Amino acid sequence: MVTLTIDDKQVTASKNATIYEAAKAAGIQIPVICHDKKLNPFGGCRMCLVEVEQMKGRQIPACTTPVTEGMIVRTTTDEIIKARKMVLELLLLKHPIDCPVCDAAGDCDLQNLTYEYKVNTNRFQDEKFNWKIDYENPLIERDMNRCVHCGKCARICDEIVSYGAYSFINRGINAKIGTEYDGPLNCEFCGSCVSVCPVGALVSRPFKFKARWWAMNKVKTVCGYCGTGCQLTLGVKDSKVLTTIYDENQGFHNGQLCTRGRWGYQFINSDKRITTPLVKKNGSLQPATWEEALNVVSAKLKEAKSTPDSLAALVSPRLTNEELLLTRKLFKDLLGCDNVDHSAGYAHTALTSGAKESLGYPASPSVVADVQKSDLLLVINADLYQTHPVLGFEINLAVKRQGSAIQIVSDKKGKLSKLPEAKTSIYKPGAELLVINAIAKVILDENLLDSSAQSTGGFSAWQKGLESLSVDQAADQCGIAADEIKAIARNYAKAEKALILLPTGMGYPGHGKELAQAVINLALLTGKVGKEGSGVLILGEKNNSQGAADLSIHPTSGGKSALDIIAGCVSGSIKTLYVAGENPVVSYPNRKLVETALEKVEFLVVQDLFLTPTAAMADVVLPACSFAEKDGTFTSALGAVQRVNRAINPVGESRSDFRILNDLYNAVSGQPAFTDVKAAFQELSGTVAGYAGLSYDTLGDEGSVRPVSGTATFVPVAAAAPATESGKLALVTGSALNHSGTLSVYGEGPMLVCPEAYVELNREDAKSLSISDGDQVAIKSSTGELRLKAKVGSRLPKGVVFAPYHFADASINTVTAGSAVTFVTIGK
Amino acid sequence: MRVINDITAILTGMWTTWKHIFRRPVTIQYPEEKRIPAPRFRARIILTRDPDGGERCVACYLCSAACPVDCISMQSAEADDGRRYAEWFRINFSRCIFCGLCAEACPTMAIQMTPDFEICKRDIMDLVYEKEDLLVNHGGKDPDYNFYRHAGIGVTQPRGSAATEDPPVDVRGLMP
Repeated sequence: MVTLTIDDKQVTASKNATIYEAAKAAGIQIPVICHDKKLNPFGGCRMCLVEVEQMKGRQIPACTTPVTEGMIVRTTTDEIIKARKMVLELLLLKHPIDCPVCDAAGDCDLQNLTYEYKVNTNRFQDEKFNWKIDYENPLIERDMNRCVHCGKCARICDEIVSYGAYSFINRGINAKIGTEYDGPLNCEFCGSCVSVCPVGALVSRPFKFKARWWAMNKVKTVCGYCGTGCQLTLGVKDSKVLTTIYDENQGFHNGQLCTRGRWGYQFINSDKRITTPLVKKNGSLQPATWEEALNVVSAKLKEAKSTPDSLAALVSPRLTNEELLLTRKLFKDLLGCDNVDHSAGYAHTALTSGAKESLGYPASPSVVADVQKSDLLLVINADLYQTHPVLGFEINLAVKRQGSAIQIVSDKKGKLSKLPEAKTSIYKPGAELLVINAIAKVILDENLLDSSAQSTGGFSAWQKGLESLSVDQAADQCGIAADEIKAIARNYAKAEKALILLPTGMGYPGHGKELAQAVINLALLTGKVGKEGSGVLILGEKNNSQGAADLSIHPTSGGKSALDIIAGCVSGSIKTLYVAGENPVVSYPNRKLVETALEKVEFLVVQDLFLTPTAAMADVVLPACSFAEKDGTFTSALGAVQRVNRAINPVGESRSDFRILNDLYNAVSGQPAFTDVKAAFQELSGTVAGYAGLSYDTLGDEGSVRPVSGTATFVPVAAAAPATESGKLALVTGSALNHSGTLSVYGEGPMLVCPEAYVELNREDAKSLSISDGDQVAIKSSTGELRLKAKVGSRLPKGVVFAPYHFADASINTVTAGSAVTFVTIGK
Repeated sequence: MRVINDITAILTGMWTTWKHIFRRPVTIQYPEEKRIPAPRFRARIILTRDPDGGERCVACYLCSAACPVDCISMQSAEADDGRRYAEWFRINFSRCIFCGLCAEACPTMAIQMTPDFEICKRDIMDLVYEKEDLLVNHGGKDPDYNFYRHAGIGVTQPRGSAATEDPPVDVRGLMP
């Protein structure tokens, strides 16, 4: 710590701090344009000039100068104000004075500073830039005439997003921010550049001219897509969510959002929302009143009370913790039905049985802060960037800024493979378990294990289970060379701090209980659980997957799992099915089977925002609210319990899931389960491990990471050689970057970039099948046949094809049936 | 003595009355007779046009932000030529207090106050003026001003040829 004087104020700051940071911490604002707290100092705009007495009163930039002991800094002398005015005049020389027609007006750093420093006239005169405005992409409008060359967009794209879409091009007066060959922008469209642009050079097209910044209410909430749990500020006007607003002080990610978080909000006010309850009459769904719909549903539930085995519920992990608790109370406690599950059953087993058996709690032992403190990140499946993009940004920062090593073990390459010195080992689809076991075996063989491992429960049984495994044979079967496996094992065991990241989800049937246990075994073996910067992160797919795991929204006393429920519907043992927010027709394996099941089930209730293919088959559809219309809490995959705040009134007659379930509870039992959400959270904190001591009111904007505790044990996991079928391609499913579950397809932003289902092929495979990019191809498996658009690239290894699962038209579950790999033939 | 005081008081009062009976009256017989207000009188609001006939309003929302009674609302949109305009523009005159802050805030001189104060309607909803009702075919108080000639963007003329700009220079042409 060093002590310095800023504007006659004694300030203590860390020795790594810059003058700007020290002043900011002491409450002294120094104006900046090119500085952002997430980015490395740049010192380009010269707005932050200050005088330092020790430097003979010279004006130096505060944002790039580190503090030194005894420094005497003045931030607002007459000379400095004169210099800053000059800087603004020079910036305004080229910047058009078109504030009234610029969408950034009101939220523009240059405008605010010009006003603050009273730059009313300009001593200089020059022509303005004459660059063509880039209107060619659907999301970001680039008007380089307004650019002030702060370089923030180029820097955030390089430093955090690691895409590198922008760079300064040309020299002198012709310098500008350019793209690849100065063509139209074509990137992953995370919109980080728009969020940091201090002027109106980069603006959001979906939001353009919708409203002024000052006219919107800013509501802090949590993103409703993936499990990362990014905090979000919604811009609301006239009870409509118009945009997401960047707030650099929000959350672990400092306001950084991914493409779907930033652009995927339009589903909230979509025209396709269901606005009234629908009840099936004479074979078609007809609008009905709430009273009528709830009466029909509650009568069926009352009927089912005597035969709880004939009732089942599929609940989406997109609901809040309070709603999930209410579901549990309604179905499990009140109706005595244990047939309650979510995420097709397999997408949560990594947590609910894998981690639960191995660690004693259904959660990850590590938190997000460990990512940037780790020496080695072992990523299982490069799709982590697609499932949890903002965590991907954290990985980018860990690798590029903290110098962590990254090892990816995956069935395909991904964006993370492009990080500096990233090592990617590609295994054959379905061989992940074998690879992890082989790594563990190498550590055992070479005696690299931690001293704590042998005293951990279950060690000898687990070790015995691995005895028969031969690393060379495993290497042969999984497709990674034995030396490579050994190198991974050595690096992992020797790294002081190493973190394993494992994404899960409906698109990844292989990432279940066994794989989670295998990676936990590996972490336990090397003593990496419970240390800072080490451990395992098992990442739930949806915004509240972790909450659903914590609350045990799955069969706990012999009930049917999701896939058994579907089978039960087919066989006729399940007569009433309650679906809240899930879309099994599109996302569960084997679409045909699911459709048969939903047709056969006697009574189907669907509670959803949209008339999804599942809802279209229902007997009663209850319109529910999106996350922007309700209060509650989400628990992120990284363990943070965070408040969701109501931003707008419910759309149409829709009601929050909490209210619907509470009304049904009332109708069945005669009294409501809870008076309000707060009461539900109170019960939650009393009954769920880790939530004790949390209170709804004190969670605040920041949320709180709930603790985990349990006893770790080794659990033997047997790995078989991956199946192969000669002459066929191995189809793996997963997530696309722009989409999350089946919800984002109702958002305008994601659909502008990634509008339809596709199948991704390797160039060589495409060549041998004479398929070119954009062709319609037929995919045939033993389950079914489907036509999809082909996308040819070099991401996938030869013999492997990939398809995302989000799209209702041409959903990939037409050809898959729930195994990790599906063997398909592709033809035109 | 009270009687004398009373008579004096009545006479004083009647003196003022009689004095005014023979003066020219200050009141006028409105509405038969009308007085012309001062040119800068603040009454009914109009949306003016620039000298080229284009709508001056760029729907920047500054008037609605400045309005103390929130009686102005609009929705901005973009025309094909890059001009920003109001898709709809609405002033609720039943709420307007004619303070003139909107006209003061307007960066393009589009919104102006006129001396027309006679805007009574039988139905209060008729006092909600839409863009068609507000838009006029002249430039109002500053007929020569065109915002786009000063904004530094190429909507009404190519960039670099506006009033306060230098024509573009080919920097490579300066090389020896």
